[in-house]
Amino acid sequence: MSTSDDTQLVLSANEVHLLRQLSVQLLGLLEEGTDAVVERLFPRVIRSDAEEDRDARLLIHQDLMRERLARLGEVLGVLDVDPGQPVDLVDDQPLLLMGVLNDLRLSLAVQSGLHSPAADREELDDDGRQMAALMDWLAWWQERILRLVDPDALRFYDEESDLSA
Amino acid sequence: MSSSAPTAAPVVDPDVTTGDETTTEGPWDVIVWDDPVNLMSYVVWVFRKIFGFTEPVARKLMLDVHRKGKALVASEPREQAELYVQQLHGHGLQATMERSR
Repeated sequence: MSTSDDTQLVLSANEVHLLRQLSVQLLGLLEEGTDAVVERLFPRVIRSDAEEDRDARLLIHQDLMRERLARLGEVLGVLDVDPGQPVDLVDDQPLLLMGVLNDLRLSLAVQSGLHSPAADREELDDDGRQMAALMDWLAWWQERILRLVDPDALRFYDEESDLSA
Repeated sequence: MSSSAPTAAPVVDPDVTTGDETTTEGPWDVIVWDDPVNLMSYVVWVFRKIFGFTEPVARKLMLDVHRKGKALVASEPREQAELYVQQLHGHGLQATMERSR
């Protein structure tokens, strides 16, 4: 995958296929609505009170579910190109794609167990390693888009010498 | 956040403005919690996009989340706090709200 200019992406046929496959899978999970992935994408709103949290989540997450489904639908439409053809992104589509890429990373993290702070990549099974590699690929692409829409967001990489402190 | 292990400690950011004084309920704090998946650069961008923070402020808050486990990113009347949490959840961040103390 590469960028040819600010709004045009060049993806291989395999990359388009993979992104579409992951997006369709996420769409299914969202429509089903009961998976741990859904729990991660629609987390708690109020930690201190379960009843207040339930009410707040109902209020906040109904709209958010509609937004996520619409975003996924638009990105799937954008990715509906002939093999080898560039993917043109217009208006807010780069941001929609970045949001979907992040949702896909979160989804893969839950499915592989990497969403847990205690998770260790070295202990993943083959499926988990495959998902971790996909997460890295999606992260790389997220930062390519970030570099286009807000290069300042990556500035700290050059200035922070010790991020693990 | 992605790229190193999270830590945990409370944090109060002096840069964050307080909410509307006319509300009877008082302001609610919006808190973003660390997670091992979201990219640091992405979190900086989300803070800049949603709150309009300058890059240094967004970076400081992102690093607070990363190093201390959480950061207070806004203190606002309930309706605005809910909107912020909705936007943060929409971007995949783990955000909660609680009554300001």
